[in-house]
Amino acid sequence: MRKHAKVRGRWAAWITGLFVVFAACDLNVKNPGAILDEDLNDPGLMRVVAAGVSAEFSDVVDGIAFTIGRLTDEMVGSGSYGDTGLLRRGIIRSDDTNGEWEQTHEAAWAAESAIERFRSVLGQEAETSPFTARSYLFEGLGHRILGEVFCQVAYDAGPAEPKSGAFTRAVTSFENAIAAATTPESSDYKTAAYGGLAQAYVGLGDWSKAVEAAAKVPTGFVYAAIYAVPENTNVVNGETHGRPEMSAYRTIAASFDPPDPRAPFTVCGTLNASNRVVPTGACSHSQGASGDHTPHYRQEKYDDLGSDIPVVKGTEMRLIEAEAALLDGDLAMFTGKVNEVRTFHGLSPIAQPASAGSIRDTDENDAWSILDRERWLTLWLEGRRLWDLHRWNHPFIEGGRLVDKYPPDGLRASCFPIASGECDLNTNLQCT
Amino acid sequence: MQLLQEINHYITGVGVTWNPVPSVMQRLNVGLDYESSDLQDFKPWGYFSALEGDREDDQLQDRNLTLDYAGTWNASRGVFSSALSWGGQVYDEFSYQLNGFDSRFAGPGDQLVGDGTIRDVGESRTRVRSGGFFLQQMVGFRDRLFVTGGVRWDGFSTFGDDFGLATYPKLSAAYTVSDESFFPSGLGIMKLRAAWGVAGKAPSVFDAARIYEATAADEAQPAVILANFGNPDLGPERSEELEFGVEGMLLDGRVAYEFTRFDQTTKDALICLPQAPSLGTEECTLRNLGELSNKGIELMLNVTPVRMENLEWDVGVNYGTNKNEIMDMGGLSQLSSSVQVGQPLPVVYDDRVVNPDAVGELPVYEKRYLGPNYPTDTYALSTRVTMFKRLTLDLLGEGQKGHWLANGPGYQGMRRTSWPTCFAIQDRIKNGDTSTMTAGERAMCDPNRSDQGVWTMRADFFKLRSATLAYRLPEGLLPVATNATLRLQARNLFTITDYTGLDPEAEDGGAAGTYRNEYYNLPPARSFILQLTVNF
Repeated sequence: MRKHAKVRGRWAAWITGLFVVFAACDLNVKNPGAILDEDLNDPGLMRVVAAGVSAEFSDVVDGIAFTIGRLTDEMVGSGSYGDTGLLRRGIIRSDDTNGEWEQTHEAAWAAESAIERFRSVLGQEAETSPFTARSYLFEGLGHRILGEVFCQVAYDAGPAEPKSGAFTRAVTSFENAIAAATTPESSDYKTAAYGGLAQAYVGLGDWSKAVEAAAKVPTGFVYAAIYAVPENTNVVNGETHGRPEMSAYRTIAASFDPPDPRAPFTVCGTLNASNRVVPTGACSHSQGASGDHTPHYRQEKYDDLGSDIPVVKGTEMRLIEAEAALLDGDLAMFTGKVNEVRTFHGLSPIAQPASAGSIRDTDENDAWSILDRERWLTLWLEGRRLWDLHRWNHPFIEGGRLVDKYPPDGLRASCFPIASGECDLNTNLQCT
Repeated sequence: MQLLQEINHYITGVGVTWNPVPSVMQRLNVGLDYESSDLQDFKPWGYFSALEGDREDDQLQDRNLTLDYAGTWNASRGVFSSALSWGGQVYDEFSYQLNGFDSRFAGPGDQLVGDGTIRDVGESRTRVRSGGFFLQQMVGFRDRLFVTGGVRWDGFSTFGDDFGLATYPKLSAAYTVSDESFFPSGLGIMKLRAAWGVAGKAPSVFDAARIYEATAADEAQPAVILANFGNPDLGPERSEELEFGVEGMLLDGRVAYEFTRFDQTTKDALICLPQAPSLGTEECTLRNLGELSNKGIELMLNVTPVRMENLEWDVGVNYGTNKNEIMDMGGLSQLSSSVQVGQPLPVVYDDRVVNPDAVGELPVYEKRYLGPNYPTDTYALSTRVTMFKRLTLDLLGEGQKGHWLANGPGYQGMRRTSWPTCFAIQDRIKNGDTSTMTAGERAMCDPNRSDQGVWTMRADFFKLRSATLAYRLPEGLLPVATNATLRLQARNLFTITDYTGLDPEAEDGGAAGTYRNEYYNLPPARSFILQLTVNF
């Protein structure tokens, strides 16, 4: 009996000891590979935070350029993605705009939250920091993109607003960028912000302020969303050089031989008498995957996965000035501004058109047709064409004279609907 | 192209058992499970799909350490018996991955990662540590009724900082009713069982913390972007299950049966709660919010209709149902088109043609709920015939029904005018004969009018998984061999289905029950295997 008691006592102690061992086990683990939020509150890391805003912005631009390329007359969707078949028919659904809507809002939000961190970590120094100026610039560009691309906008889970809601916010952001850009390091950000301001005022229909801001941007100035290999690669390059997802076949670009320097392309395949694509041998892909055997005319504007995409250009500013002159009926000024752009690109100047005409005229030589063509070529594959189709009520949206050879179902989309993800989660929105 | 994979897997452990008194048993196990693999995918310079070549090398290591202690104290008094169990476990799981990719080689040769011009590398090291205790009491009555109650407490390194231990109770009973005198002897052996319990599923490694991930911006300069909002209150999903069942044997073991009905409710399901993107970010926050219901039955029946000296024939049937439904998502009606309250998880929501029979009209599409993405009913039929105790024929067939699957190869093949079921319609389109065509025909086969959604279809099927003929060679035929068997097996002989894709059970995506479709899949190959097994 005593022996049993002794044994029981021993194993009870053993069990107790094991439980103590288990209880003492520390389950806390710190895994490498992630950066904790509080670890970023270091003045030396503000450059990295600011670069993150740039990364978020770059995420937006190439995707929008790719989608708009297929939706408008910039390119013909010739690939096999699910949305390509719809986009080439001029259809874009709210289910298909979630990426663009979320990423653009996130680009603006990331800029805003970075600015808050700069103020919290750098104090007063943040007000004139190049990081702050640049982040405001990205915030403004995010708003400008929302305004140009989406039919309506919404902020902070609020109700739908007209496009002007985004352009007004863009103006505030660009003005903040200009105010913060006080150092030589911020010089490009300031110039880009003036360009953004001009774009936003075009959106608001305030042409005098647009021209005033545009004048501060030299013709040769370019501010771009930055891409690099292997991270942050340019989707437009990947989808045209890596695969034949869209083609310049039967576009304005293809009507130039040799190609216009603003819209360069390579003919990878041609159609033979049997309507079959014959490879030229210039590329690894000669035709798209779409059912009508579209030859692949490969864009060369972005000839590398690391090619940057312009978002503010002096040449666009000259065309804004040209459009303002055209609206004023000043054809001489219009011609001069167009020729500044053409001369910059090494092209011969145009003669002053005989008449202003209208965007709906079939005359290719009137002023509006020239402006249409010059903006098409100058801003090719930069995600801007849809906005021009929308604000000009361009005849392309009624029939697709260049790309879509099939009878249209109705009007082609000239703007993106608010994304279904926003419709589902924003109780202040009623999406139809 | 070279595709090589080398896998090393070692499992080792040490176990100690100690019975300080005959009624007390204790065991302590320490285990190590180690696996490493090296995958090399090399496309040399000049390869048709990557003209300048590329190479990928993926190295993985998984190391799981286990410390497991359990003890039991058995006692009995009169018609009652008792078993008190206690114990605890500690797990340490470490995973390491190193992935290298390189492309655009300067020229031919056996290139390695680092020899190309576009390099990409990734490293991941994650550790999850968990531990828990349990206490369990079983009480038996006359060796035929057993009632067990228990509780365990678990902790995980992936729980939020403000979340403590998770508690999981359980209760079960088993009753061998055939041992009772009132039970008719003709009904053989029968056991009734019921169980209720709670189990948990921990969140993943970084779910609880607000973290940023490193990326590159501004021409390969370091940058950070938000990766996860984090939630310090994050805990495990809790699944509560109630199960009833009966099992038994009849006719001297020639009929065996088993039936189970289960009703599982997952509470505090881990849901990544998104906010309206206009609030600023697309990142969602993982919360313990959702409720998911999972109900079904499992039925097994094995019958031996013939049992003779030189002939035996067995037939088996298995049938199961599993119907799930999202009950709640913290007030949200949907997270995505495939995750919606009141629908199965995931549900297929896709385009249908509203006017399929309209002649000469273009198709008009409308999105509709079609049904579950995973089968609601599964069944298996098997039979075995054994002759002269040497020759055996085994057949195994399996079927699934109730699910919908997107036929991606069909859609993309149709768009390229290379999908056979569309050849006739596409010939008519080419000849301009669309006026007599229905909207349904154009929706399926006109590359410029079709929509991917209409290629989503029911994927019910029955497959003959395998047919095996085995012959045990006469003893002594092969010198020094104890026995030898010659086996001819055919796999995937045929499939009965109306699904027009390549494989009605394809899973591209679909990890952990998420939406799946058929896209980048190869169907299982029909194969024939001739095998000789010799034992010495």
